[in-house]
Amino acid sequence: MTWLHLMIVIALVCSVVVGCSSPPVSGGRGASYQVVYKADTALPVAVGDANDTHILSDELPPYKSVAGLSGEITSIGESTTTNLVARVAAEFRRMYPDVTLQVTASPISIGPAALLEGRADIVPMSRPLTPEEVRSFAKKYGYQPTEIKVAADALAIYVEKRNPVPGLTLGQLDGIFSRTQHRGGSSIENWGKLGLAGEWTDRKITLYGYGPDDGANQIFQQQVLDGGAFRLSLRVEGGGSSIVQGVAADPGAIGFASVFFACKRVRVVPLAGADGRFYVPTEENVRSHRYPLIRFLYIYVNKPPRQPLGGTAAEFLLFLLSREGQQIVADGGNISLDVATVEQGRRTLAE
Amino acid sequence: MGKVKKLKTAITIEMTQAVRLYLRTYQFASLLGVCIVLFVCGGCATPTSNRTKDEPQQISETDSNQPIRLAELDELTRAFADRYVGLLYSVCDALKKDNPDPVQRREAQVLMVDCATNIYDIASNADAFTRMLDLVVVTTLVSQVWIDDDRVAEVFAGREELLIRALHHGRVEAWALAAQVLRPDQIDLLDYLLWDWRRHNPDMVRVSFVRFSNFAIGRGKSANAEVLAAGGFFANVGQTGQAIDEARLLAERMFYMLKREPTLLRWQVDTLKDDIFTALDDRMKQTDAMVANVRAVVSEANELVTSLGPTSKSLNEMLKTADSVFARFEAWDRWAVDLPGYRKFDIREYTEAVKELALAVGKMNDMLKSSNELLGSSEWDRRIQQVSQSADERMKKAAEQSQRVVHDAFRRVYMAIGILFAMFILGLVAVFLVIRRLRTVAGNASDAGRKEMSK
Repeated sequence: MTWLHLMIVIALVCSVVVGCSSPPVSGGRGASYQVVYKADTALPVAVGDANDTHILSDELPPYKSVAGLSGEITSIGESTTTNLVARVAAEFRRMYPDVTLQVTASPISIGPAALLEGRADIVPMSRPLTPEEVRSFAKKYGYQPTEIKVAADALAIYVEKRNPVPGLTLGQLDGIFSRTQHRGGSSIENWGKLGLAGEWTDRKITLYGYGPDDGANQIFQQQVLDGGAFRLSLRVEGGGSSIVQGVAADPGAIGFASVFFACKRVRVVPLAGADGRFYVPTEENVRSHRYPLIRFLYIYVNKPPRQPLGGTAAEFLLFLLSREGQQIVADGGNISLDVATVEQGRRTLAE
Repeated sequence: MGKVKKLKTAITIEMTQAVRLYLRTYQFASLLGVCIVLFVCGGCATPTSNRTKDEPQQISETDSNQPIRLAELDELTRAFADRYVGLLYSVCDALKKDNPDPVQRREAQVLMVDCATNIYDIASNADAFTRMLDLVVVTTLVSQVWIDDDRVAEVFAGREELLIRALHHGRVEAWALAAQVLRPDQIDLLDYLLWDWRRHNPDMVRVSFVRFSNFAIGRGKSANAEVLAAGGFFANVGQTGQAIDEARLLAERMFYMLKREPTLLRWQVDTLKDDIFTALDDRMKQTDAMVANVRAVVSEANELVTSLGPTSKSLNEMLKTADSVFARFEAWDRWAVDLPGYRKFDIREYTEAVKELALAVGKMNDMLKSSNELLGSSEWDRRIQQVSQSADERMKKAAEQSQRVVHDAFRRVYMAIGILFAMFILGLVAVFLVIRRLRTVAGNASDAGRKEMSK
């Protein structure tokens, strides 16, 4: 009798276990995305590998340290470039313990004002100074502020990883992001208008990007919207990482942010270059300017013409424009400069 | 935290040891007990009946344009913490609902417990500003791990949309909260810092334990924090944070066990519940012995807390001094929007104020360190080690026993299946024999009938 009970109980347990491991009956949420292209949709072949990053040129000049350097450098500027300056500053201070560096991130409009008022030795910026800012400076000092490019960056276009859009032109981006369409194209509000079919046809496009005070927003507005206005539906996020996650969490989303915020759940969309071919934002494509959406990170200094910039600030910039400095640029996620741009910057400092 | 985990593991494993006692025999009652426990566990893993929606509960957006007072920030951070935990609870509940995959159910449970524990830990922090930063850090890193790194697709394949929406929503609201206190460039910096930290720690999955202090004073751990500190970024915050953290740690060490006492009690109740299910015979005595063993661990922890008696006086004095310093800090009116000359919160001003505070706290620390009666004393360390050692030994013992339990259980299952199969074959043979016998009987009867008919 006992054995009979034992067998019944074991049979019950086995049935429970087997029942737990069986697949769910309903398919529901796990449905895969089937991509169907319309017959007339061109499939562009992107040039470059998006994972190909941090290539540092061997021809960049090595930094030669000087003896007994001391002094103070005050940096006030925009946060993206200030992050880079702060990284370089840490290494610079290790080399020169007697050098004091005061690095402060600020809203983008504060840096030019600090340069104008003489409160900052160097002013990091993620966009060039506006004509108005340059005029104000020139009016006070009688010459223009000196601009040094210190790193490159690409604004990548992100979509959710399952989004099959093969590539985009700047005109299409204008149609997507702009409410004014200065490039003359039509308004694009759903993915069907970009040639996607099936479940994507009627899927509404949601937009993610930076706020109006950010340098990336201003660059995008100039280079893509041709000075036009963003759609009011643009979802403004505080930083690049937040933008990319916004896209990652929304299958219908598209957003722009620096290329180094790429993550697994998004896809970087190739963009059509001037030659009509599609390019992904690799370092090579950025340095060669084949990828259309690039920007530089700048440092502005107050240097009278035909007077070399001297002192601690000049040494700091020389370090930044060296092989070691550019290595820090690459390690921080930015794109290091090519040799020609570095040499041009060094010449500007020495002239 | 590690010691509590050890205690938790020890208690959990010793609970399994109690079950093992009943598995030792083949009696029907014991097996029935196992079945009941299995069904009860299955029931625990299913969502509660009153949760009918698959959608996470929505969190209202905050207005990011209005400056807020400290009291408001205090309320907002605590309210957000509750909503975030509620959101995770409902989502994890939905993830577990009708989910046949035990790994997914366990991961959902772990995610919920990890996040809830840490969010409440943050919410109980004294400083609203630190609390806000910590909430941003945790919600952002958790969402990065699950969404950006696509862990959600690896673990919850087919059910990921729900979790993605919830975690992203939590992150968005946390940043909206931060936007009421920080300037846009500071938001941008924090966003970059967190992204950079994640880039340098790609393999860390349980990120809900990370706090803002990892960035502000994480020298040697994060190159970015080092750079920012060296460059004057958050340098004062970092130093101040370090000093405050040291002082706070002394107090927290005292309250550490007290705060976790309810959890320990809950485990004890769980143990007793298991007793009710399994105490069917005289082996109850052995179970009681094991429960007593568990209680010994808890008792040692309690003793640890009560041993602080002599030191608590000094600690109270220290806290009083700290209160006065903090009061001065708060009286600085950086939050008082209704006072003349109000400005929106500026992190540089904050750093200046906390720098002053750091000096005061630093002096206090020196005083505290010089006293043998305080928590940093060798007595405290000895007791900590005792508890830790005790937990380690129990864990080791329980682990060995649990392994035997597993082996025994599997052996018995194999035996039972073998016996079941053999009996099935025997049954078939018996049926076959019976049928043949019946056919023979029927044949004989038919022959007899035919003979009768021929007569």
